[in-house]
Amino acid sequence: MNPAVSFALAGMAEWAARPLPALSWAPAAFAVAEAVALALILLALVERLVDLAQLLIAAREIGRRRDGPSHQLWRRYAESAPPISLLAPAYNEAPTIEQSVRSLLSLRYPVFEVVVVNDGSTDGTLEVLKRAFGLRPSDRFYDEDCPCRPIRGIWVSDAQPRLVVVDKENGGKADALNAGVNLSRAPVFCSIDADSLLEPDALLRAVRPFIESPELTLAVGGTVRVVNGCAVAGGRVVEVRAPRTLLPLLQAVEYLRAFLLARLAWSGIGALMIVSGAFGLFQRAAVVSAGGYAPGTVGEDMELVVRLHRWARDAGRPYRIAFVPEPVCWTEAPATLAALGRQRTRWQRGTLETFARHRGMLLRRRYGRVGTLGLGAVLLTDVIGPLADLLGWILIPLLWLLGLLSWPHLLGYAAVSGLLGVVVSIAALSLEEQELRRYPRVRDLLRLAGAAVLESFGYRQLIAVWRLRGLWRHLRGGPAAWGEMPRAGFAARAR
Amino acid sequence: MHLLIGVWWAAAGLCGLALIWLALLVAGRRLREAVDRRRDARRRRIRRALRDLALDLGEASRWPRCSLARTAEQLAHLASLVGGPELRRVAAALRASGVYDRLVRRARRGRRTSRQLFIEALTAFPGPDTAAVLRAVAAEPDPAVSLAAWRTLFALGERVRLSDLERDARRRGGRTLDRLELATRIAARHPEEALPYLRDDSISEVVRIGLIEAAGASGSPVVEPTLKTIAELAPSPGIRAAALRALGRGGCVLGDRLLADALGSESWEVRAEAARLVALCRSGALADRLVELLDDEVWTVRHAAGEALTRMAVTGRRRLRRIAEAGQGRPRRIAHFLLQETAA
Repeated sequence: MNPAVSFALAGMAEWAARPLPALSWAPAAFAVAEAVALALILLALVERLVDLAQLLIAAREIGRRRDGPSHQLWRRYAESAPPISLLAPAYNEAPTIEQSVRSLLSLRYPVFEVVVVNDGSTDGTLEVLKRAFGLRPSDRFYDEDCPCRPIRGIWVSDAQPRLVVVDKENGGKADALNAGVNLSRAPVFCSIDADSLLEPDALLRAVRPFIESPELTLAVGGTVRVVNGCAVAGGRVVEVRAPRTLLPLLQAVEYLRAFLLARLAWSGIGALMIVSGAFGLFQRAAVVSAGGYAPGTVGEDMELVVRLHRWARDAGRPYRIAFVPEPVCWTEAPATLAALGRQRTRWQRGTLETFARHRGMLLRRRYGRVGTLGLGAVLLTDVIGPLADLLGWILIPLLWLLGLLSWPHLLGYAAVSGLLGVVVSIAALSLEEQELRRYPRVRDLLRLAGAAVLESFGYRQLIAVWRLRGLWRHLRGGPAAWGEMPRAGFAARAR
Repeated sequence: MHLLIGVWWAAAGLCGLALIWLALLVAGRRLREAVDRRRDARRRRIRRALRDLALDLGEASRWPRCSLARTAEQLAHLASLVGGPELRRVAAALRASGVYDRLVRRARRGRRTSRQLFIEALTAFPGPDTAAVLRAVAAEPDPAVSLAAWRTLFALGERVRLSDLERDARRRGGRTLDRLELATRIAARHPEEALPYLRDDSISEVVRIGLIEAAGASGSPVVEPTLKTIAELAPSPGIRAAALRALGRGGCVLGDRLLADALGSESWEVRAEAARLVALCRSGALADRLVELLDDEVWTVRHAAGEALTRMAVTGRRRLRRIAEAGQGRPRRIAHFLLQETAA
């Protein structure tokens, strides 16, 4: 054997057989280590119990919400469905914008318009749109209900009367959405990411709460899923597949857990704190009354929803903010660590920003479940959670190695943080298979199940690191900008 | 320590349970896929055999040896698509080969879901013997089986009256017509029979609205006076709105007074329906009332009023132009949009 290797092995054997250094620690060190470990275990346990409670509520909710096939929905809702303005803010989306807009224009919905807001793109997004749809300038009337940067021009298409393109100075996503709200003519608007794909019947499915209680419903969210791995043709997902690479696969499980469990459960108890900016429907009048999107924010979607809660509760008006799991919006998940890191840092920053703005609602009786459960959960999982997660995975093994903790502490933490995490992810996948069955191949399900097991050991901790970075950037402050992500584009996915 | 070890075992147990749940679902899916594949192959064989019989190319004696349930399913499908001599040929051949008798036997006993399937398959065999079988089954206590029998009788063209359904519902302890889908189809085919039920306040609102819409959509002049009375006097706004909607669909011409009252109703549903009707009736005298509704507090009403104005040709457009030029706030905004859209 190589002498260097045998030396190293001998050293390791010696280290393993060392007398326990713990024997030399003062008793106070043991007590502190145990208290820290128990606190971290308890915190992780509370987080997982929240997850398990979400699972139970979501299982109950999803059973109640079965829509029929698409043609039945049309028959049922076509006459009573309110007109919808689809707002698609775009910033440097030249490679995908044409296909995305064509996909939006081909949605199955009785009355809708597509308002694309070009937020001062520098890559020729507007030129692509002009060429693709033969746009001509228009003097469309609009009110300045929500604050936004100056609008440079409004363009319409003779070939596509449902399409309106707004060209404005760069001001960020919230600003672009405000411009879209100002120009929209329908009582309900749907905010979507210009690079996402909606399923053809997604609007018909999502609009149901607005039909059932048009005055009460302020916002409705739908499910967002990962498109990586799926076959896309003509701006539509024609074959659903699980992502083929690890990082998007892990995100696919994460999205399932977030949408199928968390959002459904929070919606079930009336404390839904976020409607994804990638796909959310809002009552225009309510949004305008609440002041529109807050310019300069990073997490404009969550901020608006929390503000709607606040506005409605301050005014003492009954309201409903709902989540419907059936409508699906497909989005491209970051395929590289760098892009994922940027995305999660931005999301965390947005969440903290919203929490900081509305911290006054926390535990206030006036805000009911939103203030106690909703914001309480944000505090637990988004503010304290990442720090506790990371500390747990670093400190507990370290203290055990130093002999300050016994192995049951290590096992206990691994059980609470790791195994229970696996339980929640597998349960989300099972719920998906039992109720929605979007993945037609068993092989895909098995891959997702593998990812659900892996996810708790490494991936979540990595996410916690990026979330801490988000916390740091939030504390440090700085301007909000568009979250740019390198995209493969849907054309690359076409069969 | 024991507690922490207990937590570990509890978490491991839960993890195992979750994995078993998923494994069972996956196994269930595999099994279902295999069964579906076999069923599809049988369905294809039966479809081919039925096509041969319908086109007089095959013999019933060569009927494939398949489960009767698949045969029933395909027969019900065929009967919904094909009629006339082709269906008669199929029925005659299957009667001769004994399939009909087996279907009748299975329609009379067995599990509820399979009985419903066999009952529906009898749609392919019109005739007094089938009607007698179905009437006997319709009198059975199981409400789902009974409803399937009533529906099949109706599909066969046999006379099924709303009073039959009501008697049947009462016998089972129900107080009203609870078989809405069939009831509305009967009301659409025989609206005169539905009249007493349209006025009956003891019937639930959902059923009544269904009957009102079905009877109205028939376009029969017999129901028009009753619907007008309901639109004017019914205490429930939902029912008043349904009556207006039904009148509109039936193409009835309404008086301005009725519409004006409805436009001023406290219920937004009634106001919205009335606005739609104003456009249908081209009632120019009410255009100004529509303009007022452009500032209604409920968007459905605003939308209906705006759409109605655009449909009223010159009268409506003239008013919209006036608001777009000199109006204020929301009506001005809506008028702008509507004018732009209709110009395009």
